[in-house]
Amino acid sequence: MFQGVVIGMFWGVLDESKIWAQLPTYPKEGIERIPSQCHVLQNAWVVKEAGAAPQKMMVLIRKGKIEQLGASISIPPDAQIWNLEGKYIYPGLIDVYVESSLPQERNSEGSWHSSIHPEQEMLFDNHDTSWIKKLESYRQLGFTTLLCVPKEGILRGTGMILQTGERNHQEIIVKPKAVLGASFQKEKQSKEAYPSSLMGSIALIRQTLLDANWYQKGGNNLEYNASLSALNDHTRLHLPWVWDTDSSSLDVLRIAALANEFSLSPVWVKGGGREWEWIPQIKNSGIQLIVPLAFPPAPDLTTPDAATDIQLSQLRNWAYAPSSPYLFHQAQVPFTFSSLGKSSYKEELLRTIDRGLSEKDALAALTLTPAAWLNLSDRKGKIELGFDADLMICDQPFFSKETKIIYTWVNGQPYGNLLPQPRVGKYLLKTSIGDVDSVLLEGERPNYNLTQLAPRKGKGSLYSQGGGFNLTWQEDSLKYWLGNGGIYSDSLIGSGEDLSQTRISFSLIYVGPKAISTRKPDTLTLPTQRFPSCAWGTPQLPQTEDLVIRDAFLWTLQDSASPSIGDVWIKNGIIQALGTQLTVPSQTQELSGKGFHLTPGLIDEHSHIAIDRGVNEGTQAVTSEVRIGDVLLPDDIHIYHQLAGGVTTSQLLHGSANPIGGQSALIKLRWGETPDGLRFSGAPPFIKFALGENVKQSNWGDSHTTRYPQSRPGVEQILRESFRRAAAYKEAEKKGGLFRKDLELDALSEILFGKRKITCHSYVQSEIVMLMRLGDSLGFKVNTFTHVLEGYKIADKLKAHGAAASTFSDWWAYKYEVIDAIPHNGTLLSQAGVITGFNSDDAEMGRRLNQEAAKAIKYGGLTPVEALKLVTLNPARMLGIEAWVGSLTVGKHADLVLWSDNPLSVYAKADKTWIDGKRYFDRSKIQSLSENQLNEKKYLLQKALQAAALGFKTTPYTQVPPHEYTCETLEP
Amino acid sequence: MNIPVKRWNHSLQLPIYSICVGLVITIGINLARAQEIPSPGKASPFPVIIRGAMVHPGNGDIARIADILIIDGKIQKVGEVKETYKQSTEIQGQGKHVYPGFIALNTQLGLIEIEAARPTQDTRESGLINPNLRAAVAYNTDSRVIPTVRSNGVLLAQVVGNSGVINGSSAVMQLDAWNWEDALIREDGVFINWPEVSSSSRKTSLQELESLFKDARAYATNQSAISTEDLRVQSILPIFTGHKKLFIEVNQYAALLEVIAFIKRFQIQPVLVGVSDGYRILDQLKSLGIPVILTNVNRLPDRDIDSPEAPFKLPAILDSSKITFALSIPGFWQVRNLAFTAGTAIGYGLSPEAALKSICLTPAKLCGIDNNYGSVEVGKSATLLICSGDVFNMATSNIETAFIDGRQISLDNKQEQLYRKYRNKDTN
Repeated sequence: MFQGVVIGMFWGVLDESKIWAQLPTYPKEGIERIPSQCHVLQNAWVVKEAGAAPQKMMVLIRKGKIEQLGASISIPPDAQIWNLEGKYIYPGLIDVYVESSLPQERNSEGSWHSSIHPEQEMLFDNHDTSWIKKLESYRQLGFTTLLCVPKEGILRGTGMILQTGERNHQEIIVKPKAVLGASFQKEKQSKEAYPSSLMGSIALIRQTLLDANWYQKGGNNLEYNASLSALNDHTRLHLPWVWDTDSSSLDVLRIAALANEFSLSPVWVKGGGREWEWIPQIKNSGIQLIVPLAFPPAPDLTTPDAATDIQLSQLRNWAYAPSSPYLFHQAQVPFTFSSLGKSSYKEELLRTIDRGLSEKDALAALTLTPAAWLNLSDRKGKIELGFDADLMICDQPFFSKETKIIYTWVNGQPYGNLLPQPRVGKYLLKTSIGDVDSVLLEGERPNYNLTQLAPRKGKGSLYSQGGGFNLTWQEDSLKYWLGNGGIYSDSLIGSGEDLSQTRISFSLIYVGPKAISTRKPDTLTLPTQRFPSCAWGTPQLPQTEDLVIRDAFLWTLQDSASPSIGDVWIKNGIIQALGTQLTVPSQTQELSGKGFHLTPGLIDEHSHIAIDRGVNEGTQAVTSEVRIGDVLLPDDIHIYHQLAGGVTTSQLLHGSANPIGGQSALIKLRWGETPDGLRFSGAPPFIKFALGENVKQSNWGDSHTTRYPQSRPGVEQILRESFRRAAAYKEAEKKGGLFRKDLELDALSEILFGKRKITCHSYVQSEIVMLMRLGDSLGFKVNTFTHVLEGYKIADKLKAHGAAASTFSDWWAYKYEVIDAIPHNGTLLSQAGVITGFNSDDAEMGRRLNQEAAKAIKYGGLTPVEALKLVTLNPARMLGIEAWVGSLTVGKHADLVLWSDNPLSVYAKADKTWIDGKRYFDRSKIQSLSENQLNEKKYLLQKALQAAALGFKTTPYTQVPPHEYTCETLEP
Repeated sequence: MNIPVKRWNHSLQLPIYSICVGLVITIGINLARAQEIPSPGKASPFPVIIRGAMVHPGNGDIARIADILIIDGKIQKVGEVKETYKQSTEIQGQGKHVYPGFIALNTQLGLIEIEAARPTQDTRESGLINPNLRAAVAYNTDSRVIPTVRSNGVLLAQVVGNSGVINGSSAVMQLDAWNWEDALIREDGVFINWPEVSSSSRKTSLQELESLFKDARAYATNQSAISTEDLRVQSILPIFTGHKKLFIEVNQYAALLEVIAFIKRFQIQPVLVGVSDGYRILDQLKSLGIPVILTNVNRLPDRDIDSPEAPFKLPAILDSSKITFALSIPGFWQVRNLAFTAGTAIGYGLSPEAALKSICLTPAKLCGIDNNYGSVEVGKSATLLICSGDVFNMATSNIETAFIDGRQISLDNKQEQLYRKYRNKDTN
């Protein structure tokens, strides 16, 4: 539907109009086509910038720039005049995340790792049709400037800014090497198995950034490394980092941590869609967000049980995502949009407006803001004198579903269909055989459909091209004809023939638009906040209580005395007083503990909950550089379940796939807090080691027979070798001078210097003794043997070495190395004076550690107090945190559990669980929380069904696999 | 009348029991030479009387203090035993508890020794439809695991493989035997593992299942002499003739509805196993009289919004809905904790009587052995245990004595032996 002044010009692909300044550097062939450089756009409504009211004004463009702007300007004689009556002119849109491939050829002089190639530069090639198509497709969506970002690898290489006109590449590239792309995802075709986990990717990035620093300080005299060299260049140039993330809302916080550690700035993150969950943290981090205009579609609830199985968090995310730009705006988190090159971006944009974002802010996020991010504020993003003539011209105001973009002007050159197009709407169909019908023409260039309106009998299809069209029309099996014709401003006129080859002439006369389809706005009452945003998340985080619990059986565990009735006063997160009939200030809340038992919070020394994307790096025998703490997952529902079992502190361990695993994280189960909010501050650092069948890959199948080690002697040698390397590393450091910090050896040398403690997965006595002797010979103590199912055989040796034992109550028979496991292990070790604990290593069992402790009474006859210490004080001691937790002692953290019964009874339930004096679990709240979340789910399900009925896109529901890690979980 | 008895305190954790004057009767094993796998107990030539214990009948009735008279392996009396015998064995049960031997359903006990070691596994077979596999023939009476389970009160077990869509035929074994033939009580059922809704091969599997059952029904209802040579069909026939039970493991709601349609189509009275979504079809389970085996009380809730208490509460919900149910634990070594999962269910609202029944009489009924096993009642096999405390509670579960068919069995096991060995380690 072209209504502008048709100018009889041919727009070639190689029109080279930008010759005004100087002669280009490239040669020309043949006879040049020199298009006009001066245009006047008149009679249109001009929106000069986001937020400006549309004004009737004329725009004079010369040599690619906006030369004049005003209600009335004198038209130069050489100007082409464009009558844009009723049209709307906007600044051209800018997309800052256009995923593009890097050249296939890779530099071999860079990093050892094939996913680390920051030196790679994106290349534009205008002979490459995929590039040309990409420019054209974005142009048709109204985009005039693109930031192309590389799409493969971890440290990916540089992206470039392009304008979307079709010119020589020298002119299309606005800025090469504009940003550095990055992600946590290694290439699919990666040669290396490492890293297989998220924490591995983070470690690899950290090591590379450290290496770049070393390289700059003189490492470049020792080796040439294109990757490190490029990283330093990029830093010098302050290239923005553009991070790609997946659907995890937490990656943005992980990127923030890296940015903070390595002073990366600025940092832009293409969100995975759930960033709205952590707005205050993102705001504080200074990270800038790129919001893809592709929100999660409504779930398809028609498959069996989809409505039952779909998780509340999925529904909440579906509900929240379109509102997130508004929430970012309110919180002043800087953001831009990306269309991802999809035409559906417009509908998504309208949804953000339905949800509260103003048109001004929506347009700014596609114009002014990205222009500023790209340092192009003086040239792009606005319609302003002297600015690039980058324009989007629409047939109606932009923020309407029906709006069509008629032209996109890039650098003063118009693009769009200059040839006439049929106008969609109602027509009268007249033919020479007498029919007069009211028909509706619908569709998009070049394919249209015709339907007879009343009666709904006939239908046809129309294909437009070159200012003309073909038409087929059918009313029934006999009445069928086809023809060709030309397109005129208000009619389509042509002729054809029917089945009997009778000549028919016809005309379609435009009557008016189709009844205006009103777009149904995407409205929804956002569910209330939850901490965290999933089932069992609470509307408010718990407050620190000033509370006295009276008349409960107190298991203080300070000594071996049996529990006795008494009071506990907690305030400021600390146990203030213990005793009977305590006197407390009047503002202190009272809670009767009559008939209840109060114990310290349980401590799980060996847990794998709350870990994101990979518990095992395991692709190398030694991975001491990876850190569980980098990948905490605070919305793991197991946190809530374990609180319901009285657990307050968990040590999250790397798996046991390799002899030296990763660094452990100690957390408190502060449900609803941020990843950092989970950390147990001040706790000594630990690392996971592993021995035996897992690390020698005994049960991995016959294809795993070559990675060293394959035997227990091999395990010993790997460990010895690793410590030899660590010692040599420290020697080198001592010598001074240029020193390359190595994260793997750093962690290992911390062990040698007593700064990092070992938790070692182990089963049989031989290997346990081996590691203790290795420690003896190198001067370190093995802090904890975990599992240690044959520990009872060498309890005396463990005691002599000073190692603690963290074991299972009664597991055995699951592999050969546990064939001599006995349920009396805990008792025998305890009685031998070894600090002994019971752990879960299992998300389900972590909910009933108290019952596991009770088994030590059954097997071997440990006293109840000593049994309860297996899951409280003893793990606190082996973790080096007994100064703060593990017993009811004045001055320790108020981590408490109120039990309905003797905690060692199978009938006991954790009734309330406090951490730092905050009540993170209250059994009496289960019912109301349950009803509340069920109502929320019902509401969201109803809304999702409505959305589907309204024609919003839906996506098939796929069940989220349960998130349960054990030691042995290997990522596919 | 009281017979004067000599109190005789056994070492090594055997209970105090008494024997008639003048006779040295060896009951149980020779403890001087502990065997890694104890020899099966010997039948007592004399009556055995358990005096004054709190007797938990296991049939849902409330416990009461009573004597128990055992003759020829059978319970002759529960009540006051006034009869006197020239020779008898008396066990003082005052302050102690007597329970029927627990029955572990749907277990791989004796079929697998070490999970990760393939040579020790006899639980998986090639192919999906294997009703004719007989678990009984692989049952290893010399498994080191069995005594560890037995010493926690599990005296009978229904063993079955666990692969495919039809896992095979199950067998009920008593856990104190020389070989599988001695151990076998009866081959009681066929286990189906109904393909879950998301399973990729479910369409083919269900087609095959349907075809097999149609064949079997045709042969079963055909009274003429025509018989089938198809081993699979042959193994299904007893389901239609009522000689075997069909156990169907199924959990998801959608699949449960399919199963109900299936059993109506074939007019089968099955036992459903797993049934984690069972709370959504309580009315149907009840009206159809379908019993249920819950496979794991200690399991994480199935869905995010399910209460952390949901799996623990399910037994009490089934009980109050008058649905017959048994408790079980998947696996093999794990079933030694069977009584404790019943304890957990008690903590979440199930009565102790119903809890005990769910691991005693109900399993016996589901396996078709309730005429002889599953409760402490006159006329039944003396398969029972004596515990010094509450058997559901870890801290008090101290089983002192156990009988299978009236034979006192050893409660020793490899783990106890290792415990004894290292408890006294001389560390200088």
